[in-house]
Amino acid sequence: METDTLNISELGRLEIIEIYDYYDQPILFACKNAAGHLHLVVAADEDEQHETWLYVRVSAERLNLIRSGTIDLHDAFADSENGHLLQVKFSYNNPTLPQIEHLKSNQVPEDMLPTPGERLDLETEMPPVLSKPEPMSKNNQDVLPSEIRSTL
Amino acid sequence: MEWPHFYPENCPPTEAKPASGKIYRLVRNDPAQVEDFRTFFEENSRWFQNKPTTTVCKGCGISVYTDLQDIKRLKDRYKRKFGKHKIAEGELDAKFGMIQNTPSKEESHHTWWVPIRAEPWAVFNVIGESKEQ
Repeated sequence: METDTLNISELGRLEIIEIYDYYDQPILFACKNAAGHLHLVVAADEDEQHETWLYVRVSAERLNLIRSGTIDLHDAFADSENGHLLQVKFSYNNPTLPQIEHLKSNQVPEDMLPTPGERLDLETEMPPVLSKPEPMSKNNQDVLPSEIRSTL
Repeated sequence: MEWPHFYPENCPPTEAKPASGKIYRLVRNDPAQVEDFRTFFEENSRWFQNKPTTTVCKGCGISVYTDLQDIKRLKDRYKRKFGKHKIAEGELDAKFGMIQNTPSKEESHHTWWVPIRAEPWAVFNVIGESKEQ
């Protein structure tokens, strides 16, 4: 079956399950990996050589709060559930090998995040793929590499 | 109307209408250049491998807005990504292809399919900062 998928080495094969904002391409969307983990993704930066994206892991419950606008788009990334997010930087010359960096949510430059106060306002039901939430580990530490887990 | 060879079948979709009226697009250059109108498909064709036809077709179009306030909100929402872009305004007619309302976060988002030999950069002008405010 054809699906919208992405491949990020640390997260595995990601299926785009819902697109919230689009400009020439999806620029804000939710995706799910094979383990059932959900991520919210935003296009954060671009220049002549690179395109940078932020991936934050979210529980289904939190994604629902983001979808409804209870949590704004800025805090969805800046105040993440596990305190971390992934910065994924693609080079136009070598897009299959992105540079991946683990960042603390509160260390991301403000202008890379959606403007505070910007919200989704979706009254529609969650897509079926989101309606059966995957349980999240207590601190979501299972998605973090050992060097970061050891600092928590 | 002749479309680029890389368009999939049934693209533009039957729901699209002949282009017309005033629209807005973010561009890097002033005056607008041909590269300001390149599609995501042209820039990242590998990304579309095994993607649904509807996704490929949308990627063969470019994003525009019919409401100036909507594109200002987009530019403001993603400051680092779009902060250096400028808003350009263009007046379209049917020779510039087909357009379809494809609401995104803002309702006036449209997808525009540009035929071969059309030169959209020639009819777009960057609007002044005073108008952007």
